[in-house]
Amino acid sequence: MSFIVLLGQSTYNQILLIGRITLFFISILKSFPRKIIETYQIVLQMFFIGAKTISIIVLSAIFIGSVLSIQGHYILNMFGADDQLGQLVALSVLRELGPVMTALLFIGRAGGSVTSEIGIMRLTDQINALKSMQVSIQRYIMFPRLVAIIVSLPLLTMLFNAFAIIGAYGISTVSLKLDPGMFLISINTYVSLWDDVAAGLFKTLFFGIIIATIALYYGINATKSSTGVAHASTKTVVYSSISILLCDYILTSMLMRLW
Amino acid sequence: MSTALIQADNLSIYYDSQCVLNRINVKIMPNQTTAFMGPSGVGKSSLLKALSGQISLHSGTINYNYKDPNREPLKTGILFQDNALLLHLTVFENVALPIRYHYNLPEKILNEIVMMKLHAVNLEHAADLFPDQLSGGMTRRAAIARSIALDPDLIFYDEPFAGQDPINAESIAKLIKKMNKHLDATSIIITHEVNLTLQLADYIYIFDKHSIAFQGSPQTVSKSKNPFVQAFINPSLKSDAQSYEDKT
Repeated sequence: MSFIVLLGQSTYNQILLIGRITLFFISILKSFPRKIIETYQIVLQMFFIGAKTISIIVLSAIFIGSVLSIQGHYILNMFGADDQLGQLVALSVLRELGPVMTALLFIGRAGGSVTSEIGIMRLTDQINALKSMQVSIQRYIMFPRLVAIIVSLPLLTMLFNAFAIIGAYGISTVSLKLDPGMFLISINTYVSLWDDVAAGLFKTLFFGIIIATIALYYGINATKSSTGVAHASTKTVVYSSISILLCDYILTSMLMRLW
Repeated sequence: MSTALIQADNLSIYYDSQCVLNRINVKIMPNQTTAFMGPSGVGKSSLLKALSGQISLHSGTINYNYKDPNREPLKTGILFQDNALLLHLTVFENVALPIRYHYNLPEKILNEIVMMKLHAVNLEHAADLFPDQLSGGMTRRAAIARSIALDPDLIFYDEPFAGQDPINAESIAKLIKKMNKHLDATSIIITHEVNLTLQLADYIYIFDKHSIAFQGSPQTVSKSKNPFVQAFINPSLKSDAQSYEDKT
């Protein structure tokens, strides 16, 4: 009985939390920038959040593409279908690995840092100082970061996709001695711009909204202590990652039927 | 007799069930420096937060008497206890932020205004430095410069002398005096620094156990019969305060 009560309580709390986070997201969306200084923050945040994540994304993409190429070759070789390696790598990366891995890497690099930054601003009274200057926290802090994350994630995913395929191409031609032409032709033949590339990028829009909202929510609600900020960052990383994987499953199921 | 700029009546503040301030009455007169003094934990900072609208009241009222008949909101500046400078911005940008945010000024004019504010606190040379490159005294002066950026009518100073050496503390006290004079502003200071505050303030409130133990001009505080007040303003009487604490 107590287990059922606990389960019910926990489910109720989670639904409440999702409701609060959704309302929080709507409240940020409503606070569209009105001043130049607020709009400029979007550009600034895109640099800090997006541009500064490029190196991690590119490096990870090259290694993931390379590993995928080696593993794919091992399996395809069993069936004498190693000329299909390009297709295997491209479809895996464009449809699933690219969006999901970029989102997970992004959470680790940018999601946690956005939460910590806002948590520390709260801890050190910087948020109160901005309020005392009648600076809108929603417009000056929240909205620019939300937009920066939503815009950056698809762009970073495109980079990830490109470099993962380049990594795979490099390994397959240099190390696995496969025919470069076959690798590229199989991609060209089987990869569809609409079904594969666009469907993958479409998912990143939802991932961006999820990561940004969770990171901002836990940042602004962080307890005013160093452990409070650390807990908030951990929550952002854990909840964002789980939400991304769950959302990926739901979106993939829907897209496979609808697309 | 002039009207109070801020009048708080029967003001009570609770954090959860813990009483921080219990039914106090406070009047802040315009163009004066009012100091809230007392040991740590008596509710001074909570009172400042309540007066500056950062926290809500449990009970009581706060009335603001506006200078402008059109009831334009009071412009306020706050010096936070931890300075609260934005760490990713330079001193110049910290001071410029509220001006940039509220006024669409050409860069040249903005530059002149910010440098004027920095000149007032002797920090022109540190305009391009980041907060983590400043000494404690410089950080405090930079925070003062930011708090006066919008030429406020009312300035709240939360522990302006805390963590400052005597020379720095004295220069900050002089700075506050200078700001009041030049800006024609009203100041509220939260502090437990006695000597400087008695020289600086026009009116003082001394808090004990979540209520007011003394209020009046600095000249009259020595005449107070309250043993806590006597012990607070004269630390050599600390033993009296201890016996007073023990009795109560």
